[in-house]
Amino acid sequence: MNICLSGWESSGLRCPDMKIELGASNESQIHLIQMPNGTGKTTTLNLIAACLNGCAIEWDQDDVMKYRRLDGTSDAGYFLVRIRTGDEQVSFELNFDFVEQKCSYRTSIAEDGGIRDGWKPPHALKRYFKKEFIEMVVFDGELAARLLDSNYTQAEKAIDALCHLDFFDQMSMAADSIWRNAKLEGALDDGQIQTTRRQINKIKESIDSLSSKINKSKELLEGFYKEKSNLEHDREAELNRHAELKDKYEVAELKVEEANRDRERAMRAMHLTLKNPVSAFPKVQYGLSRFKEGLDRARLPESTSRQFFEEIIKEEACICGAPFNQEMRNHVLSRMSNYLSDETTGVLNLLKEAITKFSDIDIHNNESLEVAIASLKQTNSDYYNADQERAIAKASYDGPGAAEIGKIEQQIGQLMEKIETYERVIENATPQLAIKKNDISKLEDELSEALNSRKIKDQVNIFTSICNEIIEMVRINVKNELLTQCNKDIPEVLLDNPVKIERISGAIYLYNQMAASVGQTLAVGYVFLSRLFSYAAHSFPFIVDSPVGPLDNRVREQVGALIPKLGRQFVAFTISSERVGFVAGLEAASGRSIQFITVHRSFIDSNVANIIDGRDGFFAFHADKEQ
Amino acid sequence: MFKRTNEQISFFKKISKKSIFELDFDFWYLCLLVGIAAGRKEQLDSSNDMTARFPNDYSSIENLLISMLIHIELVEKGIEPDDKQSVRQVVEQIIDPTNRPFLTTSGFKVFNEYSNGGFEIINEAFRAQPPDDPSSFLIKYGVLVEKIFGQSKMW
Repeated sequence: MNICLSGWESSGLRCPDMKIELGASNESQIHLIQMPNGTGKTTTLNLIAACLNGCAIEWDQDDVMKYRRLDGTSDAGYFLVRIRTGDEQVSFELNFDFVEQKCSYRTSIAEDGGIRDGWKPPHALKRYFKKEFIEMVVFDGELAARLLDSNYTQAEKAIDALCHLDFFDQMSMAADSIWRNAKLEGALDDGQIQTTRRQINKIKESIDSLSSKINKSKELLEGFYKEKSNLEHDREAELNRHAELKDKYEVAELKVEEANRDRERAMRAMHLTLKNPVSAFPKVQYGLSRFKEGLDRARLPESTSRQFFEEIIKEEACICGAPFNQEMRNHVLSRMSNYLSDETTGVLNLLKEAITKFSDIDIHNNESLEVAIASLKQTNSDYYNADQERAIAKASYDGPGAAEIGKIEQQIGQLMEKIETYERVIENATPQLAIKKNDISKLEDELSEALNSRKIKDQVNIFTSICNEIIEMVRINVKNELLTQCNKDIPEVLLDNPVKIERISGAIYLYNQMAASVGQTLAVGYVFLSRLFSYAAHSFPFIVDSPVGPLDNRVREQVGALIPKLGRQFVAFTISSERVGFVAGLEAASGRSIQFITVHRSFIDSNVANIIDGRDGFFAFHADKEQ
Repeated sequence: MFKRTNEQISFFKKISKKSIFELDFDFWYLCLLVGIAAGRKEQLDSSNDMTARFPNDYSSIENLLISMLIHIELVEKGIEPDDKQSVRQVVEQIIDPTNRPFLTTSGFKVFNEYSNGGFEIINEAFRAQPPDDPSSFLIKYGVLVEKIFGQSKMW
């Protein structure tokens, strides 16, 4: 696609108000814009660049105010650049508000249906309208010279910009930020991973130890239970051999069992009493009754509800005044479900029903909790008495079998102590084991995440390395290609004294560079740029300020002669003193006409430009001053 | 969700699942009674889920307990039961009418805090000595809760 500058206009800015139309693509591709010093040449070029690269988005107030007229007579202004992209016209407008000290863009693309706020280049070309790239489109004449200056790396930067190698840097940075975010979220480095592994191993050891302790305790307990059972069996057998002893033991045991049953019953009764707090605590009934009365006074719940109907039918007459009979009451009950009641209403009514239901207890005769406590105290005491009697009975008997039974019971007693000990071990170790297992699970999750993050880091490293390799490969390939092509192009441009590029390494290095003339090096710079741009998918213009600046006339002629050979739109901003030599070289080499435009401040109003079209006007301007 | 603290679990461990105390909820309830009697709430500094519903053994009194909770909250906030707007606000904070047990998250929280408050009182009364016999515990508890209700200004 051929991209050309169609023209620009400005109003209310530091440069004089002007409107410049450049020729169409089938006409002249070379445009000389003569602007004497003080006409705003630099301002115009800067604003053309700003319109093309969108950099004004980041301008601060000082940057904006630099473009205000020096006499401060304008509060607002604009600069508009028109370009052609193929057959499409695109314009970028930069509007200035010097009162608010800010600026804004508008973009017009015909295919998008008109003007839109913001800087919005055509999507397909957006990557070219960046600062680094536009610097090679709109530049001053010194750029071409800097390409061959070893103090600069301009040549390599130009390659990077054209090939958009910054894209790979951006991808690399994006990948790195993923890793860094993972790190911030708790990813571990190698040392921490090792520490976590050690912690996990330590906890595993604890788990193994606790599990082993629990299992061993269980094994022992199994043995003890069996042993106890056998001993109890032996005791029973021994008892059966001695009737008197058995009777005594059985009586004592029965008493204990009975006392225990009574105690259990008393406990259940008390528990049941406590589960009815209205019954157990008269204050609760009083409190809830007051609460329900309050709800009633407040008419809560508000909506019609079952409660309402149930209360109504208890009355002698309906709310309309009609006396109730049973038939009417039944009718109300059967139809009350047709009326709305919100869900909270329903719950509140359930609560009030519960209060009513539990309040139908005669609390004054209720001593259930006191009675229950007293009963439990008694039965508890009875139990301990029975237990003590059993112990005394056992201890005091010294008849046949007593010694054997005594011994068995002693063994049972010892076993019970062991059983209690190991049961306690299990009881204590089990929650500890649960905690350790929880801890290890968390650490293992952490480790797994860290290893995964570590994996991310490795992947990021590989990715960055690939990006860097690509950048290097592209640079090498493009440089090699450029070198070959430029060395073919240079003799076409510098017919008499062609030079040769030795290498491109930051800057362009020529064979025997010290001997090359200024004109030759400048020509090489332009050839390089032109060839570089030929690799772009689209053709871009060169918009150059003082293309031959400080050169002498003979060199200017040489440079002028090579411009048409670059084969692209060339817009040069010059002053009158640069005409000589340069234009002659241009005209001699150009098979097509050159567009000449002269712009200067009007003598009547210096804020307005006077535009002179044509060659005659171009050469006549300031001709007296040259003489 | 009805919850209890690690301290509660530890305190009742020796009598849990013994004799009449078949449910963990039994202790939660006993603590609640004391807490509601005294009007004392304590935030839970640890949390162990028990159940999202009242157990069957308590289903007959669940609405009564919710009524007691609302009542005690009104008393604590100094709201008269006939102050319609204020009562409605408290009710809406505690009650979720869509699902049994009709409690919002806030409702559960308040219940648990009263239970924990009651536990603190019990713990103090027992001088932090966990009970090891269900009947002895119940006797001492009964005397304590009766005393607290007797002295309570909240009821």
